[in-house]
Amino acid sequence: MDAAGRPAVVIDNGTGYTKMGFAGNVEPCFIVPTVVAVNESFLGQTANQSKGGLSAFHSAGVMADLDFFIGEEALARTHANAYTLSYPIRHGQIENWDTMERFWQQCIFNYLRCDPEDHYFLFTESPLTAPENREYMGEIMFETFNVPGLYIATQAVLALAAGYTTSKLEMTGVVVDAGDGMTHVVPVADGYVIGSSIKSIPVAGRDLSIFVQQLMRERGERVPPEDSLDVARRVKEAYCYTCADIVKEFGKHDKEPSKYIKQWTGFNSKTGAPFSCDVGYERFLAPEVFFSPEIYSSDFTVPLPEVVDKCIQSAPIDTRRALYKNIVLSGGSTMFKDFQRRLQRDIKKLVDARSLASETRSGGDLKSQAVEVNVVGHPMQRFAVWFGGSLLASTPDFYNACHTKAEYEEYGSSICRLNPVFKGMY
Amino acid sequence: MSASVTLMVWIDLSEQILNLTNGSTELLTKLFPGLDTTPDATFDFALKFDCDKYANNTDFLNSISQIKRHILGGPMNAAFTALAAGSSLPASSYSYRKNESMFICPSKDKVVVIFLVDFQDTMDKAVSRIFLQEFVEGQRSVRTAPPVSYSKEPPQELAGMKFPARENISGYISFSLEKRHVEGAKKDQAITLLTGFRSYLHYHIKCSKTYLQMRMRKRVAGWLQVLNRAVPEIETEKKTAAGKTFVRK
Repeated sequence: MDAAGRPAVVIDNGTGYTKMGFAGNVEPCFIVPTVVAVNESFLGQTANQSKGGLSAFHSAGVMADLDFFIGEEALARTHANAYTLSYPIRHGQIENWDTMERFWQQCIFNYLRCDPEDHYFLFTESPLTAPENREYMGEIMFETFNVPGLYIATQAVLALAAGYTTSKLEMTGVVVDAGDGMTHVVPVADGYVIGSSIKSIPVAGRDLSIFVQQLMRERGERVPPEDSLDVARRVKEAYCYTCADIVKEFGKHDKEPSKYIKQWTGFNSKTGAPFSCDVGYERFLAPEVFFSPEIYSSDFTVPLPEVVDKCIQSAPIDTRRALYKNIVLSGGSTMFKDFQRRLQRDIKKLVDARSLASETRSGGDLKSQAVEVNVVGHPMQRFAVWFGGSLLASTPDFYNACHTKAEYEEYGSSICRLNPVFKGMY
Repeated sequence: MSASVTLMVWIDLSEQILNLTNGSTELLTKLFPGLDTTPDATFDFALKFDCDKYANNTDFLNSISQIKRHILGGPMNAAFTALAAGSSLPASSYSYRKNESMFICPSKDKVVVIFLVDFQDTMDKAVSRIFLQEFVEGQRSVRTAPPVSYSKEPPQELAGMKFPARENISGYISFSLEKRHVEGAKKDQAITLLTGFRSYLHYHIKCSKTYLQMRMRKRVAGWLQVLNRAVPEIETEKKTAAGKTFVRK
């Protein structure tokens, strides 16, 4: 059996978490934080240094090339002396190729436990990735891992394809992808990304965590400072929800604190001492950052519904109705309770206000057909991109669409430059 | 609710081993008693079981996750059991991957396990040779470890065996396990390590390639810095406020 007969490996590298597994599965095998703990003391060494040097490490039984950990194992070494944590992906872009390569190394051999020469690979990339990054990824996969075939897919298109299970395969829609590092709003028409209308927002999961951390710190919760961001992230994942009206929500909290205020208990990661703190307004204030960003930062103040609306308005006019009808959520930061309903309501408000304004302008002569606004959430939202990848890679056509090793050897890494989903625009 | 799981077990190998009835089937029936093992058309091997019944059975889950090890390790298990009992089985060979084989050559006081190791890529091939030699070196510093030998030619244990001659491969590595290496609990450990040998080697090769590239990237960055610093300074004529220059005539 050759590589095309085996299931492809699907790896979705996000800023916060990496989702990896095999094509055809419904859930990824592993979801691990995208972090590498590396022992960098070796890197600067050269073989002929007089004192110590590589040979000294070698005879001491230290394997410089194997001395690293990823995911939870890496996080467990936060306080270890020899290791430094490195987050290879920032704002959805791979920044540190050294650690990224090592990360893949462990993903393939230690987590998925497969032979990279025996499987096709599907990787994902954010819609704004530079062609050079794609080339670089191709180079690493073909040179280091000798993969037989590689496909680099756009996250938005995969997220759209993931909706396949809930409705019919609709390849036109707007993907609101809010991960850890970056939020993108990407319009897709018939499977092709409308590149000029992509909007991105510098507010995403990590910012929400920082915001929760800030609120807790200001209130004087007794959280150990070195763990505060981690606690904030966990609190955000466990307790946050989207509210319909922020003023009413404050009132509710004040009226019945016992019902709304939650307790969080944890252990200090350094000393092991237990601590507990209250979780109050941040429960609904954190997701509110998407809808009124001014409460978090003064640099970016356009609410998410408005960005989505602008994005659709900038798309070709004949696609707009279809785009409003299918706004798909993806990524961990869209998982808050009622996020979908709030987003739908707010976009609908904007759209209705606009059509009403145009009606009054025309003096009531022109009545337009109401625009259907539909925000779609589905059970796989957290790893929608991965799931879409799994669906795509399990079709027989996938193997034909891949860049193969033979092609790479013939033409070089430039074969990865072009992503076919952007082709439609030119 | 009952569910069935179909496991695809890789390639001709399982077919070959399962048909030979030399340990694998025994081991499997012992590990998974009473389970239906009839495969679907496209698969070589399958296990059907009731998910609910085994959901909390860690031993079962562990052994099912190691199914490949059990199948590959079956012949070794038989040979080691025989060795521990003081007898020996006839020699046998299996292709555990396409173009790569494993040979088990039992004799009176030891079992020699030989791997024909090869990699597609020329660079992998070169690195793998170094690693295989390193195994022999390493064994010298660990006295109790089983003797290891590496050669590019088929070792003499394979003299009587028929297998397709291969040119330009990474090499043959043989581990001679004596009785003390496979007694009691050590047996399972030995089988696990040997069945994982190629993956282990492969992981090391890829890791050292990554490491080489990291060092190269670092070196390139350093050189680029040197180059950038070496840009010749453009000399501009400096003047004082009064318009005088410092040029000596």
